[in-house]
Amino acid sequence: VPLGFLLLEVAALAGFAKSTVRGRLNAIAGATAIILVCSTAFYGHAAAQNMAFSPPIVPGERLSDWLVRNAGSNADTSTLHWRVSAERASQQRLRSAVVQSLQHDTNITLSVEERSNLATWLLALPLTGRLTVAIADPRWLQSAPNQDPILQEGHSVVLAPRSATVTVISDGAPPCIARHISGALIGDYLRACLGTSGDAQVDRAWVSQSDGRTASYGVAPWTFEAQAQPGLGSVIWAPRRNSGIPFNVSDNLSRFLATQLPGDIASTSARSQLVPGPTLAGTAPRPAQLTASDWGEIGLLQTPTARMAAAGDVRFQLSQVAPYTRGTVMFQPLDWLEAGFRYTDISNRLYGADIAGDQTFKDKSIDLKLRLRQESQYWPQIALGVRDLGGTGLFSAEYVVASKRWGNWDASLGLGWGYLGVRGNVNNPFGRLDQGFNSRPAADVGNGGTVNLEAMFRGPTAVFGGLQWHSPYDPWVFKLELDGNDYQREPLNNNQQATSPINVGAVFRYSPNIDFSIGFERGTRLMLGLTLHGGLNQVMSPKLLDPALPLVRPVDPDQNPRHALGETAQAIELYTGWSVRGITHDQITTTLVAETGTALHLQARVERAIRVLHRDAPATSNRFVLLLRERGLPMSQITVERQEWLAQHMSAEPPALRLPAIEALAGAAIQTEPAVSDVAPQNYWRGKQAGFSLGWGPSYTQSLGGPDGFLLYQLGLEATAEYRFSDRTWLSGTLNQRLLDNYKNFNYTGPSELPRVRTFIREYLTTSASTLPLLQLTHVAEMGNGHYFSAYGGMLESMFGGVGAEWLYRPWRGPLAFGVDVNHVRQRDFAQNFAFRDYTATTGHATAYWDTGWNDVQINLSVGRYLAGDVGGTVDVKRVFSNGIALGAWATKTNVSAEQFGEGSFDKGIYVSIPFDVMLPRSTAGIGTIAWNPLTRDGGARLNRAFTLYDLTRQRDSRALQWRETDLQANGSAEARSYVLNEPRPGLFDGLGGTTRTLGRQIADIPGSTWLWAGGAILASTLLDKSIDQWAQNSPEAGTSTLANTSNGLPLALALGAGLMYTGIGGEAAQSTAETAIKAAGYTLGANLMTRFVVGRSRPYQEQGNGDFNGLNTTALGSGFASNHVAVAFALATPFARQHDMPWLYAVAGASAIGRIEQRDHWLSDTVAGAFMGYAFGAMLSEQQRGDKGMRLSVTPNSVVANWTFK
Amino acid sequence: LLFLVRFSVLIFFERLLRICSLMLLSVGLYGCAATSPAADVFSTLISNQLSPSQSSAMTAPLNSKFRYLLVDVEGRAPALLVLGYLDPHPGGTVEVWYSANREVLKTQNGRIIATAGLELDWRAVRFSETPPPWSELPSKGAVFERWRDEMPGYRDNIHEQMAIQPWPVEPPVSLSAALPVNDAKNLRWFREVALGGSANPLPPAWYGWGSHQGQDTLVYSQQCLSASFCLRLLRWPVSQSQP
Repeated sequence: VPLGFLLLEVAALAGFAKSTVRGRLNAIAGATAIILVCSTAFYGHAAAQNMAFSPPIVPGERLSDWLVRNAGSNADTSTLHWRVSAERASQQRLRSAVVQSLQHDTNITLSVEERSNLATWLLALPLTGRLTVAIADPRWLQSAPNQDPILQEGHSVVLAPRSATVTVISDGAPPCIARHISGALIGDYLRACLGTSGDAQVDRAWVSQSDGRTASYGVAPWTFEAQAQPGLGSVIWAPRRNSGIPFNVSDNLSRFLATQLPGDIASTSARSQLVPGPTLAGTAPRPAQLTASDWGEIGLLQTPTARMAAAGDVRFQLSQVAPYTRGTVMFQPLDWLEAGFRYTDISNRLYGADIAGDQTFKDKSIDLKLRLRQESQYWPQIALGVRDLGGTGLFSAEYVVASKRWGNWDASLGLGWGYLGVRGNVNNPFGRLDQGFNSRPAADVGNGGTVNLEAMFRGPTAVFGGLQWHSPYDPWVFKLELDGNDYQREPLNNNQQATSPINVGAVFRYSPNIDFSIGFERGTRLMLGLTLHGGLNQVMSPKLLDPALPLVRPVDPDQNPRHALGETAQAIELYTGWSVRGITHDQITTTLVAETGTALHLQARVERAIRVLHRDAPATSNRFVLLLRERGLPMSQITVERQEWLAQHMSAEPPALRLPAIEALAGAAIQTEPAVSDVAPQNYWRGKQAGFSLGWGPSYTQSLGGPDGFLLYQLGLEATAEYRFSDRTWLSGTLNQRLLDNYKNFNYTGPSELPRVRTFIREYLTTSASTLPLLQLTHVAEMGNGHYFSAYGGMLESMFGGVGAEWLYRPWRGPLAFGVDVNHVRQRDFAQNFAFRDYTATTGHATAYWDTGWNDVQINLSVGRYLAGDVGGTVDVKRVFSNGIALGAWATKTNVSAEQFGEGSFDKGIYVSIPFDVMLPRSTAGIGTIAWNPLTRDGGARLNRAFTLYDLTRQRDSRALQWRETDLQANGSAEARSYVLNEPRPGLFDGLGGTTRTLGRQIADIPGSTWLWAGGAILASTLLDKSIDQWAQNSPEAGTSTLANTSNGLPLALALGAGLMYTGIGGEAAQSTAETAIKAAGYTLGANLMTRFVVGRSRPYQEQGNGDFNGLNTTALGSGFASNHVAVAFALATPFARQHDMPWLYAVAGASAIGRIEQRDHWLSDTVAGAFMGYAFGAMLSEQQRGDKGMRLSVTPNSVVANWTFK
Repeated sequence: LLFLVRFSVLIFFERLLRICSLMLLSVGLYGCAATSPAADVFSTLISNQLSPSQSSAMTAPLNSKFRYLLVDVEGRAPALLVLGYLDPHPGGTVEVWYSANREVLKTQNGRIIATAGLELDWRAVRFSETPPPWSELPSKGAVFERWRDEMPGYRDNIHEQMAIQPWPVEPPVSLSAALPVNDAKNLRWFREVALGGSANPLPPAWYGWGSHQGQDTLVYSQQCLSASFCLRLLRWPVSQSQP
């Protein structure tokens, strides 16, 4: 039976592929009719007998008018169905995807009969073409024309009587119809329909409300969420947890159910059962309470839990429990990653009189917590974390913690090492592997900044954990914990009295963003805390101070320009902040040329400009063209089809019939600005080129955590001036006047063994109250096809002046950009005037900018020469949220050793950049950045360039028209997302699970003869180990030859090549192979790590011979068998060699062995083993990729795609 | 009392904290901005935070062709609504009021029977029988049933037993500042409560019946859509002498 229905569905889908829009609708209608007939034939019950009524529509009338005419202005419209026949196609795709998943998804564990019943029932439901209506009140719709549909041919409106029931559908059970009880929640209906045991098997339920909207909620004690009630006539879809039905299938199913009338759902199943209304449980489920520990991470008091805040969350936490006061900033860039930094003040210890006088001791630290596993019915959520990572390590701790929730209770249990494990109430489990784990080496603070791996997970270990209880009085959360620290090995010989291992505390959630906490810890001390928290991705500020936008009105056929074009330009500048350079009316097109400035929220400004153009443009103007420039560089050309734009603003349009109103294209080198000579004088206006501009504002500079005072600051006034010689050439300057500061305390100059390019910061800040941080002449140019160039000179930043140039290649909307900058600079005088010091440097970088497309993460990789002459690279990773706020971190490693660099070992930091638009009540261009750089040192210091081409070309970003104010608007009519397929987006690591399982099977399937052959080859190569090593020893250049260095660089070159291909620059085939190669390299490294741990073979330079093995200890991880270089080189090369017929890549990979042997890092046999290992993983993963052959059919929101892969 | 004092301090503290953090953040960002934004950032920020813009609703020039309703929500500036429709209904004419933000308030005999576009809406209100007219309400009061649908949250069919009774003096609650004291004294007052124990009961509603522009009508009311969201509705202008 299902097969028959499937054929019908496929027939309908095939119809889409060949027909026109109208033909498609006919095909759908035909298929639907057949399906309905089939339903009746197979199930033998009549179609739904709805009491619904549907008087005919009058084409062209508003839905609100239809309602007033047919039902009255005060009728009950809660079951209103606005139906559009053209929407049936997308709803059929929605249903087909669900049915296909039910029938073919191997993860679904339903029986054949259950699958068949569910699929058959779904196929029996009518395709309604229903669309959502924002608020189905005719009087409200009349006031909001953009939400009020204009009814056309193919539309219908159905009003059904108010249903008094709620329908529950669970896999394997017939629909259950329960009486609606006001106040009843999902769990109440599940208990009424499925019984207590059935309810207990459901973790998450979807509710399709009668107004057509859907939502899902956690309904098990470990997933409880705040939830809306199932309204009258709603449908609850409640799959059992062990049904294996994927989230997106349930999501699609619930949205399809939302297109139905309740009566249809009940009547299409002969087995529907009626049950009485539910009994109310009494208490509504509440969401998990995520509160900060004393250390700022989500946790109890002194101990962390495995919980994570939502992505985008940022938290500032201040806690005090004597003698420690901690100020922590924590970020949640990803769902599974929490990271942040902290300053700890120790009130009874001093920095040291020689450094910081009587200032109390301060310590900086960085924390990291990773979620390893999400919570499930039986499994707790598990997280792995590190505190005080990479600082001086005074409070360094590692932990693994598990958290399990039961309603308002959340229990955690963990194992802690370091500061969290001082109590030592259990043996270190790693001590069973190696006795060395039983003792923790003293923090080798050295210069700080490096991760002290040698101490991790070593020494005393303690169990910690506790309970959190969300009290019935909502704002209060209570905590009880077992502390893993007994405070008897405190850093700085500062042991504390602790009479109890139990800490108790409470959190008062004063507002959604402010928590106060109090606790009693160690049995002796009071703890007080304050936490400010919120979602960076939710930050927004209503634009209350913006001028009201012009209302959108229909075009008057006789409309002539309402204002002189100059006034139109003025209005656009007022609403957008742009600088309008010209407006031209040319027959049917109105063209606007504007300089856009630095505002990130482009979409909102484009919309405002269109509103003004629509208000003022003549009726003959059917198209608006916005030629947007940045510093004279053509950025984008936005074409607006006026009638379509107007239609979308004047009525709710069905998504299936909606045409794109706005199209953005790359700005061309010579944009199609109409020639003035072709138009009448009254139809064009040219603005003056911007000349001199002046601005002022406050300035603020701070330094945190220095030895001269925790906060050193200056407040002042800053004047900015700019003179534009032309759009593309300008002179800009900044003058700063310091007004208020505490720099009299600023005495410390950091030590440095490098040229002092940054550590003269005190001198630069304090020498003069009036400074000239910037005076720069800049010229930019466009060279076509995404190539840009700039040249600049002057006082480029507060510490350096000179000349420089930059080239950038940035394809329109491409994921990858590449740029190079070169600068010759001289150090400025401390007074930041026009004088210079002696130090000069040539500095510059090549930078790749990669928008990964994964979780809005962008990675920038720079390599080059830094200000102190050091050479190295900088990695900058950031997540840019939809409102434009970016959260990022950078790290720079150069050829400066940790000792030369000084405290911190290498340059690194965290930053948040915030568009002013999201935080001010008036639209304001500009982006502010707050960076936290633990220490200012001379290594890895880059020139702070005021204008970078990447920033100037922001409009070429694929998300340029997507960054916008967080949308708090209520749901709208005809939402495009309502009944469109939800397809899961594969994560960056999602493929790894399946790959690993397949890899396991492939390894198991390797014939014994292959193992013997490979093992024999490795053994045979050991015979040559010593003679080859003798050659290396006798080598005149002893491993420093060009050949050796080149050879050592081959794996990196292969990795860079694979990385480049992975960005898509070489086409889809190369991208796919690159993904395989990168995976293979990862697996190879992992496998080799385990091999080294087990084998522990010494390296040639250790002079222990080639038969010295000392495995199963952590030192063995750095041993020589097998060679990582060679293994990775082969893993990267093999997929390309096999799939793209490039056998010479094996030679390249093999050549990487030369350097390893010549430098006496490896025996020959190490490299042979590495080659086998890398080849094996490369080949196996390559086979996996090639194994995806045959036809795969996938259904997308707008198409059916068949992929046929063959050898 | 101590609790109230502490709470007031907390509220003050929060506001102060918000202002300070915003100022600090803006100053910090301003200093770090790649290019400085307009100089009026500060003024807009401070003016918005320290002195929320006072509505001009009470001084707005009125068009004599329209009828107005002044709506006052605790802690916010009042808004002026205009009458859009008079929809006939068996239970009494429904007045449909619109705000400049396109929010809709429907009243019937002065009672709110529907709202649309507010942060909390009563989408539909139904009565077991039409509540007695204000002018005919017996001195012992009257009882009727009410069902309402509340959004967001799909709280449908909330059922309440309502009791209304005359109130001989001015209500013991703070009235809208726009209602002149003498006018308040001249109104006939009614108190309407939901009977029965609800976990989160609505505060009583107060209705003031009297003469407005020569007609006896419900001049003033205080009605709560939730325990923390109460509206004060006043027919505007309060007297003919108003502009």
